[in-house]
Amino acid sequence: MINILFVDDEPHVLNAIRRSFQRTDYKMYFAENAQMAEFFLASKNIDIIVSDIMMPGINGIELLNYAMLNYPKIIRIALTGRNDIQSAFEILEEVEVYKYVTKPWDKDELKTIIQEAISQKKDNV
Amino acid sequence: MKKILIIDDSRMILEVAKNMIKSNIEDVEVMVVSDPLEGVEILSKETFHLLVLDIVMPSASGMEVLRIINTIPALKTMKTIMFSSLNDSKALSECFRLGAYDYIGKPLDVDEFLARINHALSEYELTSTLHETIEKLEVNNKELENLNVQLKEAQGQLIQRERLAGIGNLAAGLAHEVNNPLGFIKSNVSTLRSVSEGILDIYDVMKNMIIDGFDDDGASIGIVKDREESVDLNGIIEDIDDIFDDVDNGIERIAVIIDALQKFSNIQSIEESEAINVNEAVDIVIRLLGGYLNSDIKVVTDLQATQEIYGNASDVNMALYHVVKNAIEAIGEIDITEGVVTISTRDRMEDQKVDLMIRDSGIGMDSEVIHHSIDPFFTTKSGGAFVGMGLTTAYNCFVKDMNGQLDISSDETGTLITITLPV
Repeated sequence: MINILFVDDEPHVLNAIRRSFQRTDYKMYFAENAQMAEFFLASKNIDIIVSDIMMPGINGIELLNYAMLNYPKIIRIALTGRNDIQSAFEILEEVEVYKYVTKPWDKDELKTIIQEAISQKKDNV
Repeated sequence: MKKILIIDDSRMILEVAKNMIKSNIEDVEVMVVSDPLEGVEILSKETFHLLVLDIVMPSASGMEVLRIINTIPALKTMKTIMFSSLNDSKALSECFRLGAYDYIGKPLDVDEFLARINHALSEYELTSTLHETIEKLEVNNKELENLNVQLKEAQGQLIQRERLAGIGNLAAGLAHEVNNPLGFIKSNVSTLRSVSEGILDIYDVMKNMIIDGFDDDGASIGIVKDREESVDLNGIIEDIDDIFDDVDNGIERIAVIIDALQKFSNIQSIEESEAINVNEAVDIVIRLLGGYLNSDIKVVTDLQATQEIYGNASDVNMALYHVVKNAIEAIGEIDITEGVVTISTRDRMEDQKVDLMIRDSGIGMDSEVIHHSIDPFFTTKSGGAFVGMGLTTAYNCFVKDMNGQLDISSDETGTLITITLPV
């Protein structure tokens, strides 16, 4: 069972993602802020974390770095609303992620990325 | 070496005077000439510190010589002492009028003569020092003027960069603001597409069933049920209203942002000033900052001002945007579940001004930070997104451009920014 954690301060985004993954075999968890995300990271066996970058309070970069530090086996994917090159450099400088996805995202592309992440994880283990 | 010229038609006077001077005053060169016209020629070629000039002379009077001297700029600082006998009082007044410095009566009294010579010489020193100083000041002045021009240019560039930083900041925030709704609209539409494919599929099957007249053994129902499951029809049917609502909501949000953006920065009024309603400005800014708010941060408004302020709408909106954004970010810096930004406006009847207060329950600033808060590029926030120009922009707009006041008070319970603007 693959557990995926989605983190975004925007409930509409989380709902849209939930619907698009509705008919898959993944178990999905949704968090609207870093605190809830940390709760899931600690209590569920998360395999993949997909997080928005710009969130008030503890932002995505801090959260993903926290995940890297404490749960290094979890695959980190960044999802961000800032789709300019400057922001990309800034983010990639500050946190190591498997993939970097910009909003608006392509549903199929997101699915493919997650599938590839899973097979990569299986290979690594 | 002080240079003295004596012009007198009496050679005896010339000798006596020259000797008096040379035996009693050091470091002095004395030239004597009895013909005033020759004297004038000498004066046009050489400069002297002091001229001793007789008034009554056969070929030209002392006054005429003075008039000629006045036309020679190099002799401006030269002091002239007139030789005068007691009958010459009217002529003497004329000489003073023409610029003579002093006079000495004939017959010459040694002590008096030397005293006036020395006095004239020291006066010359003073005057020429004065002239030099004035010249130096003029040069310095010119340099200062140049520096001023350069400073103004540099300031102009800084203001431009400030504007660009503000716009960059706004653009970054807006990209996120618009891309989020675009994101879930796009995803939901994609979901609806697969759902509609599924539903059309089922519809097709059912249509065929009707056409074929239900004459099978339930295989068709099986197919329909199959399709329903593969599409998760029931799940979708429950959700479909919400999906459409979310999409509508997303579209509405983008429309609001575009509308607020147009009001925020009316390109046509980049340099003009006009009457501005502060409450409207607050409203626009809040709409643009909507994306930074979440369940943990609330914005409360108490807009009571009725008077309008006068200023450039773009600048005011941008400055206010920065201050409110700072307030929201201050709350984001601390780990609480309920932060409030309170924005209030009111009229100040006592002095014809309007108060605009932005209070946040955020991290607050200590006195050191407050002191630097208005400095350009100063920020306490980490991460490249924060340029540090927010309060600088606000200060430049509200205080420098609009003659208002900006007060910052802060402690561990939060920060209060009070902007007071003339009506």
